[in-house]
Amino acid sequence: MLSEYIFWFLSFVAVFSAAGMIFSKNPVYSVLSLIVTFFAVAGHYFLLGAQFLAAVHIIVYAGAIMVLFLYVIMMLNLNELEEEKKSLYTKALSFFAGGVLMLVLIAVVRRTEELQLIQPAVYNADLGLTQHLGKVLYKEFLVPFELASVLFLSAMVGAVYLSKKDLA
Amino acid sequence: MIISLLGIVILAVDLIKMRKLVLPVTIAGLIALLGSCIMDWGHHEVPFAQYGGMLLFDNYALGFTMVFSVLAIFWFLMTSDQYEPTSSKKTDLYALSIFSICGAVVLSSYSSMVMLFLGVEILSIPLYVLAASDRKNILSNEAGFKYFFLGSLASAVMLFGIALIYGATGTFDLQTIATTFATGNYSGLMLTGCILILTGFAFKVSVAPFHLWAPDVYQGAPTTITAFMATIVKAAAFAGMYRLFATSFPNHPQVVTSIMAVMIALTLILSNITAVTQTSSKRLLAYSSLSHAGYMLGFVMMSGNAPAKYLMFYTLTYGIASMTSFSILQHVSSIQGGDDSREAFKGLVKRNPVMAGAMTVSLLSMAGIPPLSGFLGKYYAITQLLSGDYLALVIIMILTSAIAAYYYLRLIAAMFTPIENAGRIMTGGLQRGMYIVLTLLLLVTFFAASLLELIEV
Repeated sequence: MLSEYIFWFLSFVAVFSAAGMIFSKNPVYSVLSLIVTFFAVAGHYFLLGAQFLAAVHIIVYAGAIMVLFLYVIMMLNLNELEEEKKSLYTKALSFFAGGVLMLVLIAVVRRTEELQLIQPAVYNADLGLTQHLGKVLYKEFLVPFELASVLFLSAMVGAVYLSKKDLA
Repeated sequence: MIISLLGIVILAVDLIKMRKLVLPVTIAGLIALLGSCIMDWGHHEVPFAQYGGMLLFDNYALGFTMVFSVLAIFWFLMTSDQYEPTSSKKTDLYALSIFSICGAVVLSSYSSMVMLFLGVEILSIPLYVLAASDRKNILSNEAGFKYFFLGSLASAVMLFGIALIYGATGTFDLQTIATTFATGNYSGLMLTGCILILTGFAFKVSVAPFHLWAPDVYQGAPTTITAFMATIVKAAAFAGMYRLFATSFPNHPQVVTSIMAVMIALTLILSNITAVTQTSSKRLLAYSSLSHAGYMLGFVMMSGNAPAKYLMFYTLTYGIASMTSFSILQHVSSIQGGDDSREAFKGLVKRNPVMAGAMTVSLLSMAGIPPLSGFLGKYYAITQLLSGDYLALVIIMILTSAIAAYYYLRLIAAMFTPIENAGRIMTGGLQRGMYIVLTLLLLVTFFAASLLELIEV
């Protein structure tokens, strides 16, 4: 019962802040309401029992990506309201593209209901728990996990190399 | 095996404190890697040989690892005079190249799609930085940028392909995919995935029509890095491609084979014809490297029923020849103040006979003139295609290699044209030694090639 109330509350917040993100004139407000949307969606993941996904969602999206967005807005100095006029053609085109995407998504939702991919009777509800994921990650996928660190190390060395001052 | 590999990686990074030791340690590490490959050769039951079903060090992987380490040893020795021994630049670049080689080893030994993707990324990410490593040169920056964007697009396409194959089979394991594939009753999802992965690889190995980035990147990047990209990286990408198609899709569906055939034909024709019109020798070598990718793709196309040792032989001999020519190009053009047109090579035979000789031999080898090993590489490619009845492709190969011979010979002719007041070009003793060794290797491998029949890969 309680989780149902939470679900409705989170959904309301998500939809409301997503709309706010589009309608707000100030880019900074847009970004802030996008962050709220991310948090609400992460809450949904929690309700579904996917703790790890929720945590990663907050760290990656609400953390890293949003910081990037904010930096870009700050750098480009988009604060002032200087929205360019868009032609009717552009508007029609973007309306069409968005509409097609919505149609596809609705179709996907309908189809997945028909397919019944998840049988509640046999579904292991613990699948998304961090404990479960950790075991898979450190047993089955240990080698890729370790090698990924080599990848990140090389990316880090590269970034430092490209950005450091020439001493010579 | 992998321990020694990671050992070099960490050492190369740690040694930033002792810069003079970087080169010897790197070489020692690579020799250790080579040694451990020879020790493990033929033993499938070495401890840790399987790494939880993620990596598999069979003879194929060991063979390619040997190719990489031999080429890398030559590359490090050859480029050792490019940076002052104590600059921090050198250590960083060495570390990045070692990381890239680490990716190459993964790419030759993976047995799971996860590792395939990680290998491709470990191979490419250091390369983006290496391509842009001459930070004051705008062309180098452009090269790094272009390579980064197109390379990440290719990775994304490949990842999408892997995801589709996972969706079709529910597994990342190459063998399991192969069994699903062998039943012949697979969905379009699998086929689409296969083609997407092929596309991703085609970007990485730069075959037409996904080759457009290559000439710009090869030209913009510092020449030593270009040598690295054209040899070790190309060999690694082909090793990964061959392993995937030989293990998981041994009898390629007709669509995939035809796509590959069209790619080979396009690559050979476009690259060789464009190469003739180039004035910059560096760009010419870049196009020649493209055309060699066409031959190597021929091996991949026949991967279902031909042993991999011929591809290995091709990558090794092409790698040696290409590395020599790029390295000499670097030397000559730096003396001429960056001029790398044919004019710069005029009279090289008087100015530095060793260099001219090495350059001639390696160009002839790339053109496929016997008794140099480049001839045998092309010969193997052609016989394999003939065994599969691809006569049209063989004809294209022979015609285009005639065009290739023309532009290689034109460069050689320039070297033997006498000029007035030619000053001598000095080379370091190590470099001179390397040129002689590599030239001899091209001859030796030609006569030793019959040993290939003895090994089983």
